[in-house]
This record gives sequence, structure tokens and C-alpha cells, in this order.
Amino acid sequence: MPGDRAIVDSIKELENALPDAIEKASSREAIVEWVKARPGVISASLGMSLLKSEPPQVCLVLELRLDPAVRVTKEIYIDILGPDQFRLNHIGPNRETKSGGG
Amino acid sequence: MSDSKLLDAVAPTLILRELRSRGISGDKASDSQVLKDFDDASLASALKANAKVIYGTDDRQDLHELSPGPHLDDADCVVALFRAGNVVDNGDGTSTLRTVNFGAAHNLCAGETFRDQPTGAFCSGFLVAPDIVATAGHCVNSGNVTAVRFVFGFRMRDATNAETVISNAEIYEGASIVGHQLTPDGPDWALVRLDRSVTNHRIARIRRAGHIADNQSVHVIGHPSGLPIKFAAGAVVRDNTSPGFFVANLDTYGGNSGSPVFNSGTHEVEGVLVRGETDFVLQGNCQVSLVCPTTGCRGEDCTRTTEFANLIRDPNES
Repeated sequence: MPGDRAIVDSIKELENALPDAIEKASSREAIVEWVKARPGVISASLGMSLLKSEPPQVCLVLELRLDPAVRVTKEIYIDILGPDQFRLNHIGPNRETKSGGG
Repeated sequence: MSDSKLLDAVAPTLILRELRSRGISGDKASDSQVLKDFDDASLASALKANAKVIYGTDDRQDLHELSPGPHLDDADCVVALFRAGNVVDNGDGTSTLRTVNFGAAHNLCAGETFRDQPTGAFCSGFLVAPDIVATAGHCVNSGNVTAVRFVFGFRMRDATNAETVISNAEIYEGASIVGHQLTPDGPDWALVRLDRSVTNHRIARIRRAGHIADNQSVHVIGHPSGLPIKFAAGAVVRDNTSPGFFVANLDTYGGNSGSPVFNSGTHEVEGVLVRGETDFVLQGNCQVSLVCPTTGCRGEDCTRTTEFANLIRDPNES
């Protein structure tokens, strides 16, 4: 399905650009805004909870839909190195949802 | 100056005092001219901004401060998680843990507890079978498990000296993931198989079915901020409604993830500490622990051990 291919390409591109974008961001809001501006991203939200590793982490949940029938959710874990300093910890696996043509 | 900028300029301790005075008096009487016009939500939001978290009084203690008894026994199953690169083999049967000064690393204000101690662990864990450690899912995964070292005995020997040279017999390598779950606002746990069995430490007893009681007293043992092992009691279960985790007002910090949360009555492990309130507040040009009212802030989430108990052999079964 062409949509699937586009999703795969878009996710790969996003994943490749994420580490640099996160390290350059000066605030949590800036990370969310950057992700939201990427092609195919329909929503992005940063969790309020702090995951209590050292350094602590927050989870950015984003949803991509490039095809009406396919929706992908990703979780991105970000180290909080300081009030304005961030680093990608790891990217969780894709959670794919068939949205039934909606 | 805008309202939010005005609050940014106020010391968090003053904001907290204001919130506490309102809670205690039940009205809006205030001894602060600056803060009296702000509502509770604005003050709470300002207090939470960029904040290490303590509920009520700081209950953390070093193990050398504890008397022999069940709390010290509980601590025997706890490990510190270090990255392999931070454990340096000395070639004489020991390894040195690479650490940094806690106060310097976090720009802590004078008087902040434990600021002269070394820090280096990135998470905590506990032994649940001879060769299996339980920890948080966001601490380890299949991609990094073999680069993690599980270290027993990272502790303060006395008030000023930490054990940072550890016998290699007390250091274990991660071999594989036995089970793993990581959901942003739900269960968060991992079971790691070690490179060999542990024979000289206690295996934690974990709850295998049912729920902890509402308001049950609990205590946590782990490595807050990556420090030598700490014991913290004085907490209770505040919210017991989620199926995968409960919430308690435990004094925990980054680095406590993976710590066992014990039922203070039975000394059974009820949960794995995973997430919670932000930790530090900037006060002037240095940081202090955020202090929350005992019933305030969001609380600390603990994944229930029943989420993974089925993967661990019950020692009571033959």
C-alpha cells in the first residue's frame, strides 16, 4: 500500500532528525512544536510525569497518519539534562492502528 | 512585570509556605503581600516548574544510620544500575565505580542533603530470583541490557565515606530481558536475567496477587539521584485506583526508578518506583529539593508487582 510506504519513509526521516532537534531545543515546548511541524504528524504531546531515572526522562507521544486507513503511534523518551537541555534517550516501537478508513 | 514572571522571582520555599498556610487555615489569609493575590493553582504551578521532590519532611536515611532489623534486611536485595563504562576493573578482583560530586553535578545550594556524596548510578533494581533483577522498563531494554552493570554494596560506610571500590563478585552483567513493559502512564517494568546467579543476597518477596491496602504505610530503598543507597519511609498509598500501579507520597528522585517499594507491615515488595513529581527547584542561582505538602503534588507512581509476578517462580511452589 502506497500509504504504508510513505509512513515508513516519514517515520525513518523523523527518527533520523530527532536526536539533533532535541539537543538543539531550548524548551520542552520547542520539542513539541518541532515534531508537530513534521510531515504526517497529526498530534504530539509531552507527558507531565517525570520518569525517575538519572537523568530523569519525559515521554513524548506522537501520532502519525499519512494514509486514511493507517495510524501509527510512537513514544519518544527524552532525557532532561537541565531546564533547557535535552537528549534523546530512546524511541519506542511503532504501535500501528488500522483506523477503518476514518 | 507579568504575573508569571513575578512568581518566578519568588523563592519556592515562600510559595510553599503560602500554600501550606492556606491549607492549614482553610481560608485565604496570607502574611505575604506579594503572593496573596495569586490563586492556589497559579502558586502550585509555579512551585512545580522545574522542580527533587520531598513530601513533608525528608525521610531519606543512609543505611549506616539504621539499626539491625527488617529494614536493613530489606535493603540486602537492592542493586544500583551503572553503565558498563562507569565501572572500571582494577585488575585485582575489584572495580571502581566512576562517580561525581552530587552537589557540583546538580549545582545544589549549601545545606542540601547529601550534597557532598558521590553520584553515579542511573537507576535502581532488586533481586527477585537467584539470577533475575526487577527494575523499571525505562531503565533497560533489549538494546542496552548487556551494557548495564548491577552492583550490590554502593553505600555510605559512615557519614563521610562511600564504598566506591566494589568486589567484582558483587557486580553482575545484564544478560537478557526476561520481560518488559513500558507505557507512558501505565505499567513500567523490566525483568533482567543476570550473567550468573546471586548466592549471597536476599531475594525479595513480592506480592503475587491482589492489591495493597488503601493508606498502607510503605517504604522505598534505592539510589535517589544516583547516590549511595538510601532508605525512605514515612509514606502511604495515596491512590490505589489504577490497575497497573499505585501512587504514594514517597521521597524519591531521578535514579530511584526500579527501587522496590515495600509494604512496611509485611516487608513484601508491592511495587516498583517508576515516575512522579519533578525533583529540583531553582532558588536564586542554585537548586534545592522541591518540598511538597504530604498530601500535595502529584505523588509517585509504583508499578504493581502483580504485573510481572507470573514470570517469576513462586518460591512457595515446589
